[in-house]
Amino acid sequence: MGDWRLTDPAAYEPAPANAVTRERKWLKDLGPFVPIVALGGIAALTVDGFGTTPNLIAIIQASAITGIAAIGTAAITISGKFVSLSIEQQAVTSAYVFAALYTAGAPVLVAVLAAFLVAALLGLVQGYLVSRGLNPIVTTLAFGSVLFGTVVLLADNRTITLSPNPIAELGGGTTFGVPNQAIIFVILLAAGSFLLARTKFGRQLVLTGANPEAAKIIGIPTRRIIMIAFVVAALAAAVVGILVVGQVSQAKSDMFRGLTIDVVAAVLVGGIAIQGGEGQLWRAGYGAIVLTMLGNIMLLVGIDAGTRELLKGLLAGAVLISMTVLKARNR
Amino acid sequence: MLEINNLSKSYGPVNALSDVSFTARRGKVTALLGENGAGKSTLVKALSGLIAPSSGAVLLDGRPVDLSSPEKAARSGLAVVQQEISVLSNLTVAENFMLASPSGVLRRRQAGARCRPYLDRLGLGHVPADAPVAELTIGERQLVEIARMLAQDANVLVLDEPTAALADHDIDLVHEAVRRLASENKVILYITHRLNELNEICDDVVVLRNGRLADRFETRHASINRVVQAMIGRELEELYPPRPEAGGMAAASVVELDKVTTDDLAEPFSMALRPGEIVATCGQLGSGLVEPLRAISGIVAARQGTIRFGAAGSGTASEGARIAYCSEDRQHDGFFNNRAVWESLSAPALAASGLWGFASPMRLRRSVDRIAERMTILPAYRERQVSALSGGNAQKVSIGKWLSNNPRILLLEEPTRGVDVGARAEIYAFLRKLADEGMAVLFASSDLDEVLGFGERVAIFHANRMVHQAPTDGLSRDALATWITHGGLEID
Repeated sequence: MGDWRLTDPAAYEPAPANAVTRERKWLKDLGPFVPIVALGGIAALTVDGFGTTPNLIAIIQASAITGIAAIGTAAITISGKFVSLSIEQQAVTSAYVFAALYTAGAPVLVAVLAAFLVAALLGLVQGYLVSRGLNPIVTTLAFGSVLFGTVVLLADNRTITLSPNPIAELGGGTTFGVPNQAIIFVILLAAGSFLLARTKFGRQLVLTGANPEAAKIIGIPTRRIIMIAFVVAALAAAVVGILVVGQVSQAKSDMFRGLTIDVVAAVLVGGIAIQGGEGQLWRAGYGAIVLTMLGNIMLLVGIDAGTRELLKGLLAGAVLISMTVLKARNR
Repeated sequence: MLEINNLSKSYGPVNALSDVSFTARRGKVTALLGENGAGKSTLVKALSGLIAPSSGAVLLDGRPVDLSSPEKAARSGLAVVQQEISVLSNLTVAENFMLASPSGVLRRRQAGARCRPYLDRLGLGHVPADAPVAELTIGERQLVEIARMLAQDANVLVLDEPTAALADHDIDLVHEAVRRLASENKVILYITHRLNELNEICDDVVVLRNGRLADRFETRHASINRVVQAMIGRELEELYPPRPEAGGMAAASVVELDKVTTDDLAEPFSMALRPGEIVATCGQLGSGLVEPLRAISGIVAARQGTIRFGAAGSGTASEGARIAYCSEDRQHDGFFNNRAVWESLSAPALAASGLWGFASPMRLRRSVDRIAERMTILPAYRERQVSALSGGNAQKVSIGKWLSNNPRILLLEEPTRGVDVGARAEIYAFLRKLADEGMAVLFASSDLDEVLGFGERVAIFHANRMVHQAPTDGLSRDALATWITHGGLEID
């Protein structure tokens, strides 16, 4: 097809820039890992009890809850709508729906399905509002507040205890020594990564986040995609809600206090671009593991709770700043 | 006199500027030319203190200039007016001046009096100091920005494509102001893609190519051929591809617009597009010239009238024709800047295949190979982010992405704005080829030469009306200019 070509594009664009781009991409990809790997290595050598198998398993189990919720939330982030701030309220709602239905005599499967259905509907409503142009942060903040209030009112702020607990094994048990929560976490992470990279929905989700205007003109149903992203996030929160009910055999209003912030931190620390259209899903899971590992190290070293929170916050900030600096240098 | 001595800037192994030396005389306008990627913007960034050169020096009247930060560059008397207008449109003219006030104290009452002389000097005597910038034309905003620089005692003005987005009247206004500044003994570096501006206002010409100085000469010794040859390193034979022989009866139209109006048009218009045709709409910015394209694409709704698609001119868009639409702002909605080129190229076909099912990245990559080849997008670029490409290559991505959908109608707003002359020739040749294969091409352009050279027919717009339709053969540039500025051939 060179017959009508008048100039060689290579003649007016410096081609070697390619090599530089690749080198910097590599730097950017690995940037967030460096401090974490270093920290893990140092901890394994110096902190008593950190490197032991039971402790590592405990870290993964504790990461699983944050991680599963973070996988779902990452769908919202990648679609370009930042994050949901109603994650813990969504999880609490699903926990209550499941526990209430089960204790009222519904079969386990029906209770689980109902919890998912309610979650999906709630996610759909928020996704609808955001896809029509409402600010996602404000929308989910307000929605979460209303949702939490409603659930606490309906439940009369009681703790619902499951006895017997039909999903104790699912939420708290192990398979070949590996916690079931961790197995579910890994399965969902793999499934989500596949969905994102190798399905039409996943690829169009990324494009929507990368440039919603271009996506719209090209014919990508951006509003529907955003709604689906919110439904996915709500379903992930529902998984978390049900798993924790299985683990602790009860549903109560403060069971997920602090989850939202942990999830948002995991998404960001993992390195999913907050402006959307960029990032692999495993990063969200990785972020969750990192945050849990830090908390664990500090606990083993004997740092008190207040200082732990402070240091965690500082570290998250440091990672974010290092990412921004790397990005700025890439200009 | 501004002297640039052996200026170099490298990014790792890439030399964006190597050993560039030239002088720009006081009281003269020096044109700085070059294709996208030639090093113009690197030079501008160095002069504005945004990047530090790897080596070399810049001297103003024999004294070295400190370019280590934008503040220091400004203090040394260098002022750069960027391509993107940076006056704040929700403030008044005077308030914009106050932002540049060196004392850092904002004195509202004095500001009006302070900016008056600068406005007058630039031919903005008719603009009140308390007018909101939003009410000014784009050209007037450009001049407010220049005036703001003057208020900071700038001796060297670097103007980066000041007329790229302007209508004819505004271009005259800017030219007038530039001439006046030159007569005040300023050094003016004038960057442009419009070659006809050379004769109009420039005294000297400096051409960069691949980061090096390719040629420099006085405008009176210049010919378009010499300029183009310096820019692209070889002779450009034809900018516009030859048109096919006028061949007998034309085929049935792919789209017919019958007495259509939109919210931005004052009167209904009718037109039709046939396969294989390249048709232009022409007018000044904001004259309504983009409305037919937007009505056909469905971006804006037709308020009245009917739009019929298909071979016989009947049916709706979905059954009659596949439509490709590129807006005038490709950065905004033409592609996915932070994703790889192949992702933008494959996106329309991906969207058309629905939301459910698998999509293999490898297969998507391969599916765009043929398009990338036709668009002369080098294989090495397909994995790169669109943001790393030059304006010309980015425009190829913006247009080329639609080919994955085999469109029958191609709608393009300002198809070569911000695209250098070499890539322009490629884009024209490419579009001609698509038309020859049976696509109908409709483009909106305020560039008269492009309309006459590339369009076969033209629909002329003035003041939100379609005022005339004619074949471009036999239409003179003067006649077209009169039509778009006055809406008729009689000047009253």
